[in-house]
Amino acid sequence: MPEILVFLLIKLILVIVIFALWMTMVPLLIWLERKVIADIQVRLGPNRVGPFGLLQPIADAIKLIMKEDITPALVDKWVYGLAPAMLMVPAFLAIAVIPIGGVVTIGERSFALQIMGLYRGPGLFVPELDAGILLVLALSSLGVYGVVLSGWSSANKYSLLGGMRSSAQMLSYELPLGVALVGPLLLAGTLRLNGVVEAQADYGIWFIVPQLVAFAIFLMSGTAEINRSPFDLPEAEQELIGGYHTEYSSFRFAMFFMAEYVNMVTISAVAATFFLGGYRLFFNDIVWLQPVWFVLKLMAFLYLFIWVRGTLPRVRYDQLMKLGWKVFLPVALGNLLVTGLVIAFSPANTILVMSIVGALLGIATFFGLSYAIVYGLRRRRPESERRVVEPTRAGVSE
Amino acid sequence: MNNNELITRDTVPEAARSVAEKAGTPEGREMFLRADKDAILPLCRALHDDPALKYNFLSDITAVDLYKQEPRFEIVYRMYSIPDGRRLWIKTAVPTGEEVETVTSVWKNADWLEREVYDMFGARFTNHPDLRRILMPANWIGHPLRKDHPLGNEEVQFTINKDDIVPQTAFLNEHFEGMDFAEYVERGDEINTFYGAANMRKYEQEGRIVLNMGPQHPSTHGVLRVILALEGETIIDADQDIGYIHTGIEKTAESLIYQQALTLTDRMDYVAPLMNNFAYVLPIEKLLGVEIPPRGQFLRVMLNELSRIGSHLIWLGTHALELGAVSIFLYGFRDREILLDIFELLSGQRMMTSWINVGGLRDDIPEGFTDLVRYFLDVFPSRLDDYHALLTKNPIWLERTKGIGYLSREDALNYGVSGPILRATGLAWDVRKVWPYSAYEEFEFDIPTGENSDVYDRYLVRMEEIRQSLRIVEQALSKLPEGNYRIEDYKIVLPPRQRLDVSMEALIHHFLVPTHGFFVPAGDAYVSTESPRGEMGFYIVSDGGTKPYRMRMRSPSFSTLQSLPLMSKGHLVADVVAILGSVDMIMGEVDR
Repeated sequence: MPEILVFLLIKLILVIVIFALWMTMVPLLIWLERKVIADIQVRLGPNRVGPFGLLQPIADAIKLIMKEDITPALVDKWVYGLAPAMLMVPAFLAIAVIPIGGVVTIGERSFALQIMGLYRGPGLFVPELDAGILLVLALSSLGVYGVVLSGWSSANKYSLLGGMRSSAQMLSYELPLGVALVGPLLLAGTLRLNGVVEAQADYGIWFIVPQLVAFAIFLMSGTAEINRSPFDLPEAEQELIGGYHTEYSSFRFAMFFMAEYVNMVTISAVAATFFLGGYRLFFNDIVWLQPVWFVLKLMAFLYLFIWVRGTLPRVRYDQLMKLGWKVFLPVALGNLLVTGLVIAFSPANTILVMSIVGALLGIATFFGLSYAIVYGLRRRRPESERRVVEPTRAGVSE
Repeated sequence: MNNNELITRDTVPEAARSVAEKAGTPEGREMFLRADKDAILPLCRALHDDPALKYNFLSDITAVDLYKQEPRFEIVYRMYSIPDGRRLWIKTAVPTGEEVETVTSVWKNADWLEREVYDMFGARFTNHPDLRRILMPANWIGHPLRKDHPLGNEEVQFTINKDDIVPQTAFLNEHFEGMDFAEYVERGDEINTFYGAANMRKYEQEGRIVLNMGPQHPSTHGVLRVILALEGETIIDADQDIGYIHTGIEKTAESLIYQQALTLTDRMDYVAPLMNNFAYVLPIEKLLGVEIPPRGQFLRVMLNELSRIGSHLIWLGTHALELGAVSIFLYGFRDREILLDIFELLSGQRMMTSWINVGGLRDDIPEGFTDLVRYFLDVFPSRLDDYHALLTKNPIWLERTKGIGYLSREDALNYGVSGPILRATGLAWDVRKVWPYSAYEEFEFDIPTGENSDVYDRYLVRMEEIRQSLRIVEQALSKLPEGNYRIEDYKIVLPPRQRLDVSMEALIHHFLVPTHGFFVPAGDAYVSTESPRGEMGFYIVSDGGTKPYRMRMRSPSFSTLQSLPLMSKGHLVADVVAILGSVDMIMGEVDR
């Protein structure tokens, strides 16, 4: 068998396995979300279909597929049909660069457990995709088209508002998200995700410690990027009645639903890779077990997302923008500056200095921001920003 | 200043000083005037503007149809001086076909109240800015609360009978300047969109987004329709359309005996039904001149306060839900479940209990009732602390509620806003303290007030009210007197079951009271009560029979809702949801 066929076969198997992992994560996540939220809300959650309601997501999927696919009369049919796919395809493509395990060696061939990963065989060497994290960021930006176009093509004012909100939101949060990741990238010295994981293993410390600030910014921006509560403004059930997907039903709605969960898994995967050491533990363990560690770390983030959803109210659109541009972006840039300075002035024991500085910085930022938000607001708002609206204000011409 | 000096004041116009009829309490805290209809506007303006009189709060405008008499309509104005606590009623007679000058220039909430009078009675108001139907559909023929309007069902419109049911041309001539029916059908959506909110049409023509929020919208607590004109997401104007669940309770009550009409009141403010029962029986008891024994009064107060907690829990849940905190919603319902268990133990019903009756309660509290209430008092305070922990200092919650929906005290009074929203402006106005009814003067409780009059302060006020209500329940439970829970006049209340075997008279009453009812002396009465949403009260007019001649509910949310455009202008769409939550309106009570 020619080597190229072996390569393709192995990659195909990897694609199937990793895709299947993501696709099983989605129903599992839906079930988990419903169960955890139910637990938080003193309810039982799904418990009728299968043991502990485990088959509920499947029942949901069947229901969604069997439902009538309604296309309202006034919609722009092409765009309306295309939009869900435009959201879902980038969501799935981003999986390609996430490493779920290290390099496996079978006989004379070795390959990384990553779709676009390293492959070394007799007479064939395929390196890992160099752009790595950039691909994830680029693809997650593409997802915004799906949301905007679905909102615009639905011919529904609520959907339009939802689409508008989400375009602004996703564009604004790309920036702090990307900048936050630069800190760990500087420490790792590579864009390849495998490299980031190995760097953490080499240093013997997860980047969550030296890059605590970046971690917090990434997590919150990531929540905004994937439209999760408390930043789920584009769909804001109680204001916009579902927002951009109000008019969608049946499988097209399921595609939106799926894309949201796939994005959630992907963001969690990136967070686990960059800040929690990815698939590696601190010691050299068996390569075949690494996907298990990875999934466990992933689940920790997923649980966090669900937990936040069960606890917090939703922020307002303008407050969200303010938070993104005026708080997250400067803080992320500041973190980048500090990281750069540490690397420049202390090349010998960068990671030790950075760990101390980073942790302190993280704690200081946390308390500073909390204080600013809670007390800054309570003092300032009543006098200066209280709105006494006269009918003539805000552009009402009588 | 006391009301008895009122008509001697120079500021009061000449026409009003020679009032036909005058009555009131000796100390002048409450007074009744009968004025000529032409004197209404100058009289009201003088009463409002005179700093010594300062009738700054219009509680209600309603009418009574004196069918077959002339002048046919009697319009009743009821106004208060807040915080002084003086009350004044003005009645005026309006013959068929004649108009009264509007008082919208004096009190803003007269707008909807006069529209309702017009809608229900057909009495017109001169110079009213926007005299349209408010509760009935635009194409309704006739005015339902007139005595000659039949009490009947609405015939369903089909192609075969549509011309018989709605005289389309008359309707189109009246509202759409003789538009062709075919054109009306063609442009139906556009037309119907704007009938309920005529002044929003100009924004659509300007090319702005006019967003229709409701009547089917998750945040409108039922079927309120809010129409918003937007600039981006900023609200530049707002209007409301109500009446979607108008069920004609006031009309239906006129054909039922007093006990039967009681069951209708449960369906008005369906979140706190016992409070409606309570408010309904008070004026009837006032007309009957009966005194409820202390045990009955204490139990009434206790049930009333438990209802208030239940209502506030629903408010808290839905308010938080609308701002995205879904969990609080379920916590609120979990705790309300205990209250519903209490009511179920009492009456066998969870919501429509009808337990507070004329003459007392329907029955005494059952065994185990006090234990269940004690259990609630034990577990609930710590849970209330949890809700405070989840919301009160939560940065997102603060961001969403601080400085949102500001309403000045003057505006609040001018719009007839009462209850927690008025108290959030810093005014300690609570009917339970100002005009204590039942046994409220025997309980110790505080009136929480706010400072900034925003959504956050309303939240704090209501949260504290829950705590005060707990205090009242606690006191009522520990001081609960022995004795009878109702009066012993068996012409009004049912005689005890065991007497049926020994007394012929008891047997007769047992038939007569539920079927024929009791006679209520002719006259009219109104008693204010404090509902979770503000001043609620029933105006009962009796002609001496066993059925109310007219039953009118003063609905707190009805007045409060009118201030929504004022509160929401300049804010974002997301804030309207917060403001609606803080208004805590129940559409069953607004539309009745």
